[in-house]
Amino acid sequence: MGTKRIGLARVEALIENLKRELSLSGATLSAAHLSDITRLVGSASSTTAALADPGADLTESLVSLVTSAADTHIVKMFDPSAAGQIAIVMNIDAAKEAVVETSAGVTITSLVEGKGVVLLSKGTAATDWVILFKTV
Amino acid sequence: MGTKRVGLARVEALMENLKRELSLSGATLTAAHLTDITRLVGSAASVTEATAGGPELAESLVHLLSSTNNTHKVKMFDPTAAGQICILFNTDGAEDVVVVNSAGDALVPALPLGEGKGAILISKGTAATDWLQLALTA
Repeated sequence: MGTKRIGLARVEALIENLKRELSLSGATLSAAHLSDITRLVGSASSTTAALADPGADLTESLVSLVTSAADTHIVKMFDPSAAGQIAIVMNIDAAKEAVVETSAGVTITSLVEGKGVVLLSKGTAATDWVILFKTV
Repeated sequence: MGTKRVGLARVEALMENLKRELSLSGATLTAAHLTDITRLVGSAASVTEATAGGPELAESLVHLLSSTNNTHKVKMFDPTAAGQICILFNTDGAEDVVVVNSAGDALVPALPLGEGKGAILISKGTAATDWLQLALTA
């Protein structure tokens, strides 16, 4: 009888033959090299901006799609989990602007309909989001 | 004799000790947090547009484009889901590339990519017309 231990090669073979979806349920993959990526999709829940106080909170995601019922309505960013975090906020509304604020209520930018912004965090505080670039 | 079952802790330990390449063969990882990423590389197929009709791009995070004529086109693949990201870059030294949707219609707004320019597109749904322009090279 062979060994009962399962080695790296066996695990690698098992995973590499996995053609199905692997739900990681929020598990973190760290220090990875990701190569030959054919599809990168943020968990793009659509959030409708809300009145100025309190606004609508965005949940942590790579991509946030936003709609709005009025040009002054607000979505509030989640706080960054780490420095170097990337977040994309896109206003997919056809008619109204949305204001993007920090969780503390400080305006980051205003997004005209059909425009978006790529944010980058320099730390984990609410105020640590900086604008990397924005749709012109 | 112990159990022959392999628990989560064992799988986790094995995975964490894996220093080699893991080819996922198109498997999908969902709901993952990716942190401390040291390398992020799209499968950057290089496509040369050579005819007026234009080839359809395969699904990929990154497309490197070149062109033989300023009016030549490439057709986007249809998005798989809302929130999908696609980076296009015209690596050509002289000619523009016109990016259209899979039906051959112009994107809204239109997207002619000058030589040495790129764009980041993001999808709001799965239709051919659901690609939006997030950013363009200045």
